[in-house]
Amino acid sequence: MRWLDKLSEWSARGIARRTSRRHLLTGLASVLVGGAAIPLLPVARAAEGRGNAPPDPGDPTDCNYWRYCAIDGFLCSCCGGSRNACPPGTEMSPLTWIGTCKNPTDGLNYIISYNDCCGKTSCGRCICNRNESDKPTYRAQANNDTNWCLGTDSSVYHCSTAVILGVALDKS
Amino acid sequence: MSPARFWPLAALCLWSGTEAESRQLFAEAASNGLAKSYYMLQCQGCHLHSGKGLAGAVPSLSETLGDFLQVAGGRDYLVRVPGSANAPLTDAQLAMTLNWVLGKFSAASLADDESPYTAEEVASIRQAGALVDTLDARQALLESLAVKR
Repeated sequence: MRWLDKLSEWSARGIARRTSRRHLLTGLASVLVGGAAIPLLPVARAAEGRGNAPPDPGDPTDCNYWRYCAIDGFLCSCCGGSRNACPPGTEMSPLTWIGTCKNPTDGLNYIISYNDCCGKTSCGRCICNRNESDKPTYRAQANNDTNWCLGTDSSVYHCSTAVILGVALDKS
Repeated sequence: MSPARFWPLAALCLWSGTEAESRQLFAEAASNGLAKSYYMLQCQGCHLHSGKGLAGAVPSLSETLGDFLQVAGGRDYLVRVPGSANAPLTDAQLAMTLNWVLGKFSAASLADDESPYTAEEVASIRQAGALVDTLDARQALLESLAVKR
């Protein structure tokens, strides 16, 4: 085994001659920092995404989709738009009625804005009429029978969106 | 320092203290997440996220709302407009929401010694019920403000 000892000694002495301790530390630090960063980047991005966007389970073209708990109208998701956006050729009403729906995944109540899309005749697809928290017309700001095409160029109703505004805080 | 020189300085300190305290209270009110939640649910649908409303249709809550508190009847007016008086909020919740609106959208228009609404004050004002002719009441307050200026 003496030959193995000699080989190891020769190899170690060679490395020591060719490199300084500072060089070794620099190289080691680069490997440690770089190695740590590479696998962390996508994980960190995913975590950040989860923090900003609530879970959004379900099919936005289905009336049972959680955000539609208080909607009354045609779903823009079936009309060339989406749960958040109006179809081309229509304008989103700035005035709207706002309610809350419970997210089945995280159990939190979210504030949902049911902005109507206006400017084309009624879409006619995916009618959805769920009335949680809906109030009579004398409480107009909480009534979903109202045509909310107010403040738009046209008052002709086309379809409804369901935009998340935030989490509804409550002491209870 | 002689007493004659001391008193004006003390008065100045007291005044500055009151002003700082008032601004602090409204700043705290404007950072209340629960009040923001109530605003979103009960007011934002018409007054919008910015509080600016819609010209000619929905009054703005932005920048000049504090002016109403500087004329007689203005404090009551903000509680008695139908959107406030009829909101499904308790008196404490409504006070919290009004203070949030004032601190968030119109802090610069508040008088230096303005005090936030309390639940007791809102309860007392609410007993008079919601205004029937809101536009007339608003116009009268605006005229009072114009005279004051």
